[in-house]
Amino acid sequence: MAGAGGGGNDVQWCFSQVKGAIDDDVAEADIISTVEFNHSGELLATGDKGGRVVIFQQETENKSQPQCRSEYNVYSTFQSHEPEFDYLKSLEIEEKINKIRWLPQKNAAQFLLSTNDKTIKLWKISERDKRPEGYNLKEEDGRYRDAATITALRVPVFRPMDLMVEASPRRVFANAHTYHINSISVNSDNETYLSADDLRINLWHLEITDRSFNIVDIKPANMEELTEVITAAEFHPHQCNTFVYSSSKGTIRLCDMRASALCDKHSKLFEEPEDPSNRSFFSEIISSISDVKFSHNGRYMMTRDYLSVKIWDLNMESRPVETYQVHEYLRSKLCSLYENDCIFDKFECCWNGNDSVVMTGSYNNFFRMLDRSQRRDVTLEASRESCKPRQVLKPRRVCAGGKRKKDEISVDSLDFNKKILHTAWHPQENIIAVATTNNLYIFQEKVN
Amino acid sequence: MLGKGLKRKLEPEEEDGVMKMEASSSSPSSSSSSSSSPSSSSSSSSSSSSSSSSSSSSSSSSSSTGGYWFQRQTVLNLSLLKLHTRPGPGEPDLARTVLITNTLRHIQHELRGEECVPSPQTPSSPASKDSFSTALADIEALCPTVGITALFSTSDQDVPDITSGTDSDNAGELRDPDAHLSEMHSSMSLSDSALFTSSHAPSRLADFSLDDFLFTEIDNFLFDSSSLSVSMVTDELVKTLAGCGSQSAPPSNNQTFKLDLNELDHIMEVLVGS
Repeated sequence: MAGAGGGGNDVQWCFSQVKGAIDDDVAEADIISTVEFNHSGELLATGDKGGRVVIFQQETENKSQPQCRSEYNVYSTFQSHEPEFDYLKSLEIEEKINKIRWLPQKNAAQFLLSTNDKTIKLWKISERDKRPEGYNLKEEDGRYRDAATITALRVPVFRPMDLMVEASPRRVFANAHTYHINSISVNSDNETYLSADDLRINLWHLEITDRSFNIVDIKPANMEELTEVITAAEFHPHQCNTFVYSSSKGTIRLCDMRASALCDKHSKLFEEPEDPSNRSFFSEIISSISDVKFSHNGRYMMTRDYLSVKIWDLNMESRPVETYQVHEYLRSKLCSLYENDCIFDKFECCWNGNDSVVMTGSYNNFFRMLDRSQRRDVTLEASRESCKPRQVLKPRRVCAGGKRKKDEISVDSLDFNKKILHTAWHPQENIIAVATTNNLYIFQEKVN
Repeated sequence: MLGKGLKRKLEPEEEDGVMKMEASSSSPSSSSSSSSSPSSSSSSSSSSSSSSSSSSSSSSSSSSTGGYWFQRQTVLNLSLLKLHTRPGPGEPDLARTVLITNTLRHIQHELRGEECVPSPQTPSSPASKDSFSTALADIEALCPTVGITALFSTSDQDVPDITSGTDSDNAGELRDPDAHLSEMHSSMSLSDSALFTSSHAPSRLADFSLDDFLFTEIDNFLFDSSSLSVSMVTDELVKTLAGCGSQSAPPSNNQTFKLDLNELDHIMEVLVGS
């Protein structure tokens, strides 16, 4: 029975599917860089470092076998972005897909926005299962018929054909970002969207590609004075005039586009005072927010920094209403993590359908489910070892120090190359998509 | 203009925090952090050596300061290394650069703060000589193309009376008319002023400081992603610095720097030993 995405700990998660190559030799281009369900949850899109987008579609449930939950199968694959070269700066522009965002469905076709560091593209994904046959001037293979041989006219008719899914680029929004795009967000008005880079946020109209409005600009006149960058931005799910953006200093600013054309002055500033007992050289780096997501009901927002997830009430700026530790055992390892650059990893986070549970990734292919309503949390692992169909995932525990109990893994044994940065939760059901380096795991709620 | 720096004063009640620093510096690096970038492999040796020496000194309370110092030094070295290593063919990540630069500024702010307040309880032990030249060698090894200290050691800048601004009783030791010595003091302090907290307090530096070096040319390079390479920028800087000196010095080289270091070792021995 598909609930509205209920509690994370009543729910037992079991393996459903894994996508991607099995061998350990990971091709750089196959590294998954973004995962996103569409608004109905029927489609699941992934973007990778090679600039490709792969869309999976949920098969309609088999009513005769209720325990066999519907599977996601490849629906469409296309090359969204190609590598480019900036001749002015002599630098490569990566084709890696940074973000994918679906547009709400308006007609038979599906639309999504995909972006790399510099360019955003609007893709139309449409199905074709009929084709016209019986043209007068053309043969079936496309060759033109000699007009002299035509003696009678006929009306072409549509005949069924094998389903073909076509992806075509409908708009290209280019040349508006000097710095690297980190976020895109579709507005609730379904007409505009924002794109954010390190220093600026632009507002676009989906129909217009040669112009965008700059709504936030934090570039200082003197670049030497730069101490803070924009790390993520998102539109409010219901209020089309409201958006938030997070910074590398751990602050979130909420802006109202009705206040002024340039939203440099925030309406609200969300910032938690630093805990002096935890201060270290890395305090600022670990406070940098890597992701910000509004709750579905629009009353809360969630931020992810290096060690924790915080839930903020939009009406309270002084501190978050809830804070969850993701992997506090890493606090004593920050120097090593600074050395190997892991401290700069940008983890994402997501809400479940009814905003009662949040999920985020960690290292060693672990991911965390944080149940807000029951104040409980669980650590699960996406691994090849638990890949039997409907195998229930066992909770994992990390031993921070002292005696390691059975089934616990010690901090020093964690594999920091196996990181789960991108996760997504089906908007209505308890189905989650978890991306390891080059594999996509799909887990579902155990159905008895 | 510095950002909002996090000032940290090393007071007795802060010892818990210092112990925390020790714990993090002496804990083993994660075994599976096998990063493919060459920068981390070269820096891991320096950080592991510093962490092992910090763990050996962690027993005595007087060296708890040393543990903190070592971690700060490690972070300083790592930050410098990261800023000077080009990550790949693409543009460097601006967010990462800003965070590393802020960390560096924080450490520099701390060092400046310690310079101005000579802490009487910090002993100028013989151990500090070894660690400080090791640290310098580390910086030099990590940034061979830059040669930060080399830049300043050859520039015959008019060093103002560096002892004049200090309140320390030990300042008298520095009133050495030997210009070469004062120059070396200033050059050493530029890279690692923490060691001069007790007896040497060259708080006033000449034309160029670490700040200027890092945050003018390098910043413009990093933030604007201009086509200048690091070596080109530093060549420019060397010419600028050489030109500003009262006597035009030839461009620096590591040879000169190493000679200076040896001489400095000897002088430090003399000063500190007494």
